[in-house]
Amino acid sequence: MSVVFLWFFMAWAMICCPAVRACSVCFFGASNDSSSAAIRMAVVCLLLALLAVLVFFGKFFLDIRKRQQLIPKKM
Amino acid sequence: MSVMNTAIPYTVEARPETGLYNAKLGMWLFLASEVMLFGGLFSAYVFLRMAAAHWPAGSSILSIPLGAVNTVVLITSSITMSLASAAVKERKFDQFKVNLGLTILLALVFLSVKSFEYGMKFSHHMYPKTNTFLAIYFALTGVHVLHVLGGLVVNAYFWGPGSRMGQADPQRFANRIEIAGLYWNFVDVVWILLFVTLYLL
Repeated sequence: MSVVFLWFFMAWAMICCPAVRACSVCFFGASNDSSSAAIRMAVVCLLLALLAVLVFFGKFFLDIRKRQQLIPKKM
Repeated sequence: MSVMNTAIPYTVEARPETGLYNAKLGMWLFLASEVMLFGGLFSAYVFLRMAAAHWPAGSSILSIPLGAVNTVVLITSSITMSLASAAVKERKFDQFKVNLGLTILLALVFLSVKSFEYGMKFSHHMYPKTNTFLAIYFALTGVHVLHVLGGLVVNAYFWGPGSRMGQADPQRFANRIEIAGLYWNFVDVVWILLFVTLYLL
């Protein structure tokens, strides 16, 4: 029963409150707002830092794989 | 072989799988986490700058000559740190002491210039709460200053009481200086980024 109520509540909210339908990162649909643009650029900046670290780890794991092939097997 | 070397292998020689000794691998992992820390702070800077209706030019608030002096000081300290690392690998302890001593001295010069800069701001009633630019300026440079302080303490230890290891276990000591140098170079690179973003852009 409570699940049905929840679905009805969500449907009602989606129809009656435009803010619910708005994307949570673009400030209620104001995607041209300076805050939205700023958040997007900040996320890109953070992703670049993350990418640098992931590339470092990826290269490190590839390097380990390459070295593993050079080590003679004991058995 | 000491008990410690038996318990934790590859403290001196590189592991065959990674090509790195344990401490160097640990330092690279630490630096990866540091990249994430400063990445987050730089993202905050990008957000604040782009969201602001008006953003002051760095040169109108900060002193570019003082920032440039600090940049030269830190780059020079990176060179002396590398020379210290090279000297200790060749067992030239006198040269090592001179170069690491210079690195410590240059770090102190950097901190003195920075504290002078902070003092100037405070004397003009410019605090982190004054505006968003100053808030992110103090946050970014403050975190960087803490990193410089940390490196200074480590380098001072290796120059002073820690240098005894140079006689007892020179290879391990050389490794320690090498990874301290890695950290110091990272701190230098972060400052160059800070100087460009805060002072010049």
